[in-house]
Order: sequence, then C-alpha cells, then structure tokens
Amino acid sequence: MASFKPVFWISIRSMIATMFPRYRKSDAKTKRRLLLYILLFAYVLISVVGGEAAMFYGLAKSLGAAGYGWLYFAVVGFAVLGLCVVGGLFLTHAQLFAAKDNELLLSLPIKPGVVLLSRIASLLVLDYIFTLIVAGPAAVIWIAVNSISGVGAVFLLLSVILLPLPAMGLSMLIAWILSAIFSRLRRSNLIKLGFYLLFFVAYLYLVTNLNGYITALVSRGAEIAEAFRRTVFPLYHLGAAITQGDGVSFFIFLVCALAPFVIMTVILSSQFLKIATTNRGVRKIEYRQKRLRASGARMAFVKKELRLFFSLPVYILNGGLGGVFSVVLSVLLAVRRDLIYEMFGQTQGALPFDVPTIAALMLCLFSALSLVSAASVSIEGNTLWIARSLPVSTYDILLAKVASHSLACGVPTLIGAIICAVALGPDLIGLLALFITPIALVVTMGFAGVAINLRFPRLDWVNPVQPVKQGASILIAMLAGAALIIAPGMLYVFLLNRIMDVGFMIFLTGVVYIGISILLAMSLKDKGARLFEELGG
Amino acid sequence: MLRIEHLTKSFGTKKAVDDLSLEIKPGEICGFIGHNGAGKTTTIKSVCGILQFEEGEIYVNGHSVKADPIACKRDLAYIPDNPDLYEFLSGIKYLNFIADVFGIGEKEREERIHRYADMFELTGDLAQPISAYSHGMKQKLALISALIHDPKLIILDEPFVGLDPTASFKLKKLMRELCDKGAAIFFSTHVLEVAEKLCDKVAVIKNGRLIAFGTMEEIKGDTSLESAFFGLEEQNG
Repeated sequence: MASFKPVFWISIRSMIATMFPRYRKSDAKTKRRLLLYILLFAYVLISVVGGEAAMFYGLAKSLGAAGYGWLYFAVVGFAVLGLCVVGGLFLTHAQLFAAKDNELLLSLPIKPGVVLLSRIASLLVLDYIFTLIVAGPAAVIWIAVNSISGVGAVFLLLSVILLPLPAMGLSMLIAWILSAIFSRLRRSNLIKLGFYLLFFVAYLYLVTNLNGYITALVSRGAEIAEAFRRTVFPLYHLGAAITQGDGVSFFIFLVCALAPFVIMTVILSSQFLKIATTNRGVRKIEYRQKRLRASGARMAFVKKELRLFFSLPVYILNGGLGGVFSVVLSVLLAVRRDLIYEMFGQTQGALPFDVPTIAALMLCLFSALSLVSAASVSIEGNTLWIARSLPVSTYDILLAKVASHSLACGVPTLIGAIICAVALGPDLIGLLALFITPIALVVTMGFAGVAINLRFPRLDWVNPVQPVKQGASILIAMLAGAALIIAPGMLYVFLLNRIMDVGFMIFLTGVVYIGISILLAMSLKDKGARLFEELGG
Repeated sequence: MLRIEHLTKSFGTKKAVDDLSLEIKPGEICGFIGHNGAGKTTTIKSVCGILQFEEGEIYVNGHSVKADPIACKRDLAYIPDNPDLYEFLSGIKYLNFIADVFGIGEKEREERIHRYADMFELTGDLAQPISAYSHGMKQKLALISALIHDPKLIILDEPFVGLDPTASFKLKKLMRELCDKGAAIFFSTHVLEVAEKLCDKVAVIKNGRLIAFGTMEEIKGDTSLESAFFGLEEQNG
C-alpha cells in the first residue's frame, strides 16, 4: 500500500490544478488573479450555504414542530446522496473507466487494486466536500432550531462521515453499467447525453419540489411517513439515529451505507485490470470514399469547435444546459401556461409582469447559463499546436470559438423565443425583448467566456471533465453571467422602474449586451490574441 | 527557403536558444541534431510561429515569421514530436479540416489524401475516429495532413518515432522526392544513421547554441556523423 499515497496525491493535485489558476511565485499578476479567484470561490460558497440555510431553516421549524425530526435528516441525506451522485458521476466514470493515465500507472509496480483505491479515495474527497456543503449548514440549523442529544450528536458526526460512501458505491455502479453499455456502442454520445440529462432533470425536479412534498407529507401525517419508512428505510434510520439517539437505527444505517461501497469496491478491484486494459472493440468503421465538401478556413474552425462540443456529453450538459432548458421550458410554457401562475401562486392579474415578459426573463436567465466558450481554450489541451501552426489569424481562431458557442446555445434560444412568440403573442416591445436580449446575451457570454478562459487556462488536464466542469474559468463565467442578469435587474428595481416599462428595459439591456459584445470583440482582437499566442503549444 | 538570423528565445532567465543562425535552400534536407533539452524543439516551434521569440528574425520563403506569420504558415508544414490530433474527429474529417484551412480544392484534396493515405497504408482506417488510432497511425495521419497543401518547407520534429519500417522507408524516399521537386526539409532526429544517409546539411545544437552547421561532408569529414557529433560535443564541453 506504499504506492497508494503517491497515486492518490497525483489524482488530488490534478483535480485541484484544474480548479485553480496556475500559480507562479514570481508572477505578481497571477498572484492577484489567484486571490481574486479565491475570493470569488468563497463568495459562491457563502451564497450556496446561505441559500441552503434559508431552506433548511423552514424545514427544521415545520418538521421539528410536527414531530418528524427523522424526516429532516432523511431529506438532508437524500440531498447529499443526490448531489454526490449527480455532481460526481461524470468524474467517477472518467477517473475509473476512461482515465488517460491508466496504462501508465499499470505499467508501474503498483497493484491494480491500489490504483483503483487511490482513485476512489480522491473521488471521495470531492464527495466529502459536497457532503459538508449540504450537511454542515443543515446540522447547524437543526441544532439551533431544535435540540439534539449527546448520542444523537455523535451519530450525526458519524453519519456525515458515512454518507459519501453509499453515494460513491452508487456512482461506481452507474458508471460501471454506463461504461459496459456505451463502450460497445459506436454513437453512444446522444444516448449518454439523454441519460445524464434525464438523471439531472429528475434530481432537479425532486429538489425543487421538495418543499411541496414535505408540506404534503406533514399534512397527510403518519400514513405517508410509514410508506417513506418502508421504501427508503436507510434514510429513515439515518434520521431516527440522529434525532432519537437510536443505536439500532444507526447500526442499520451503518450497514446500509457500507454495503454498496464495499461491494462495488471489491467487484471493481477484482475487475480493474480488465476494465483498464480491455478494448471492448467497437466495430471498425469501414472507409468508403465519398465526395469531400470544401468550406472556408473560418467555417472549418467553427465546424471543428461544434464537433468537439457535440462529441462530449459532459460539455453539452455543462456548457449548453441553458440552451436545453430554453427549449424545454418554452414548450412547457406554450403548452401549460397555467404552470406560470402556479409557480407564482397567484392569479393572472397579480403576476409581477405579463407572461411574455416572464418568458423573455426566463430565456435571459438560461442564456446566462451558456458556458461553452468558457472551456473552449482549455479543452484544446495538447492539440493547441494544430491551431497555432495553421495559416489562420489568432483572432479568427478565437472568433470561431465565440461563433460555435453562439450557434450551440443561440439556436436553442432562438427556437425557445419563436415558440414563446407564437404561443404568447407579445406586443412589439415584447417581441424585441424576447428575441434580441436573450440571443445578445448568449453572444456576450460567448465573448466573455473566451476572454475569461484566456486568463484562466488549463491545458494539462487528464480527462476533459476537468476543464469543462471544474475549471476556474467556468466558475468565473457563471458569476459573470449572474452579474449580467442581476446588474440590470437591480438598476430597474431601484432606479428605472418609474420611467420605463419592464419590457422596454429588457430590450434596452439587450442593446447594452450588444455594446459589451463589441467591446469584448475589440479586446479579443488585441489582448485576447496576444494571450492565446503566449499560451505556447 | 528558411533563414534563421540570430534567433534567441528565453524561458524566464534560461536561454533555450541563443543567437542561432542558419539557412536552408530549396531542394535541401537539413538534419537538426543535439541532446535532449538542447533547444531543437524550441527552435522548430519558433520557426513554425508556435512560440514567440525575443530576438532575431526567421524568414520562410522570404516572409518574416514575426511580421507575416500567416504567409509563412501557408508555405510550411509542421509535424510535432508527439502527434496529438483532434481525437473527436475521424481521420478523413481531420484531413478535410486541414484542407479547408489551406483552401485546397475538392478534387485536389481527394486526390492528395488518397495518394498519401494509400502510400502510408491508412486508407482503410480513415473513417475511424482518431481516438482509436495507434501512435504510428496518428503519426501517419499527421504526415498526410502536412503534405496535403504541397508545402514548400517541411518541418519535422522526430518524424520517424512510432513509424513501422515500411512507413519509415517510404517517408525517407518521399522526403528526397519532395526536395528534388524544390521543397526544403528541416527535421530533428536522434537517429544519426538516418541523418547521415538522408541529409544534405546538418545543424548541431548544444545548450541552445549552434555549434556546427554545414554540408554533411563539411561536418563529418572522413568519419561517421556519430563520431563527428561526439567530437563536437566534446570540443564544446
């Protein structure tokens, strides 16, 4: 097991290296960038924890008063499991079944099982971070609102240590099944994407409707609680152990938490050499000579960027989620307009804005989630030399990244806008707000993403999940997107609502986004191109 | 075809290439030899416009790499020591992408792709994703992509690594044929026997400085290139 430590640290270092900008002692500019990034990171963490605290406070009060304390911790346990599995599934699959350095490590005098264990340990670190983010504030809130016995506190502490284990076991099982299925399929990306999307949407749906379920549960009393106990009994025992200090319940939870993790670790340990070295052999694609269609150099780069985007489900899901939501929710809005009233819990007259305006705002919100270009420089990795050695200007290479981002996210946004326009029949200003602003924001995010990624690039990743999901530029681009939405919103609420209609404000914001895009394009031509050329290759 | 004048490239305080000058004329094959970390790849990447350099000037077919990098890149082809290609593309799509960038006509690209793919026995694998290629197949694909636009200057960094004996033999033959038609080739290698048989000129680099440059006869004299190389290394200790 002496080899466990170095392999474990390599995995951890690789993960941290992608999340944080490269730090050189002599470089004062990088030091400032790193400090700024850490502050932004802390800000995001505080915001997330703050939001959770508000949600858990309501739950702790209502469930504590109704005598369903166990349910509170069952919900927390569910949220932890869900976050760990959804948040870590891509990485688990990439690290255990598709890591680039599997062959290198297996060539060293290290037992295959040790390679696997060190990988699992590094993935568990991520799961522990997720667990602390969710269970930490939840536990503090419960103790502050209700009370907890000494034994309950010990069980709470032990449960936090145990919770990532079943999540890891579940992630390993799903990743194993996915790997076995997808490695045999030639065009598995679409199915993979569909699967992940389904998984993600189901989790999102459950989490967003959690409050409703809890309210129903509290109001319908013991009958549903009993059903809950029977179906997800490990989570019931988790809650019972903490709130009632019940040792038997804790033992049952302990067994339930350890079993999937131990079973999956044992199975994968015995199979790891086979997993890492077997070429499952997708059938060879026979080459048949066809006419080769020519296109210009710029278009060739745009097509190349789009092919890269569509070849990685994790890229689509993380970078283009806004586009997917734009279409799905526009269809939903067109077919079930009553949902919007339900969402605000009010009658038509009492909605804050008219429905087309809400649709435009929603599309803007999803446009701010378009993060394709924020990973577009890092994702080049070792292939950066190709673009750098070809007779195309650096500005054109960067513009191709913005263009592919705009196409990948802008087309779904446009489809969403068309559906909303046809179904909701907005007036002229509403139409402008619906079409111009969300699409302008997609383009602005495209320019901003490239600009940010040029300042926070990571080209030495081990698997593409790292730059696409964990890269520093992704987090910063997300914050930039939030700022682009919140700033005009605040301006309107506090200053401009007296002098203009909200629809006109949205349209005006779109014009501002166009202005920002022009400024960013100018900066990309000069400073951006210089930064790209300094990346080497 | 290639003129390097007083090239200096530093990484931090370390000079990776120091005041290097050489010239390769059309029709010449020039081998670039030196120990690991001597500055070969840095020189090559500077010539290809991949690395920026502080001092000196590089001209490709009369165009300055600093002032007109795109004109230089149009005339040259580069193959790195490790052919990391776009693994999400198939071989044929990668070649078509390169042909698009160089603006090669449809018929011309089809003819050239198939000529070189047949030569390197890669035609049957062109529809496969590059991710399924072996190192040697990637090297062959990189070679085909470099030749697709009929370059005037070909820069190769360790081109024979990973190639099978047949492909290696064909590449050597092709290099000579291309130079006979007026192209120039500048390539780095550690295989001195290959350099000795193939090259018209040799450049020897040590610790970033060019310690010898001339025709093969001038450099090796009556001995072998290997003996000459070790002699030069010793002299410049």
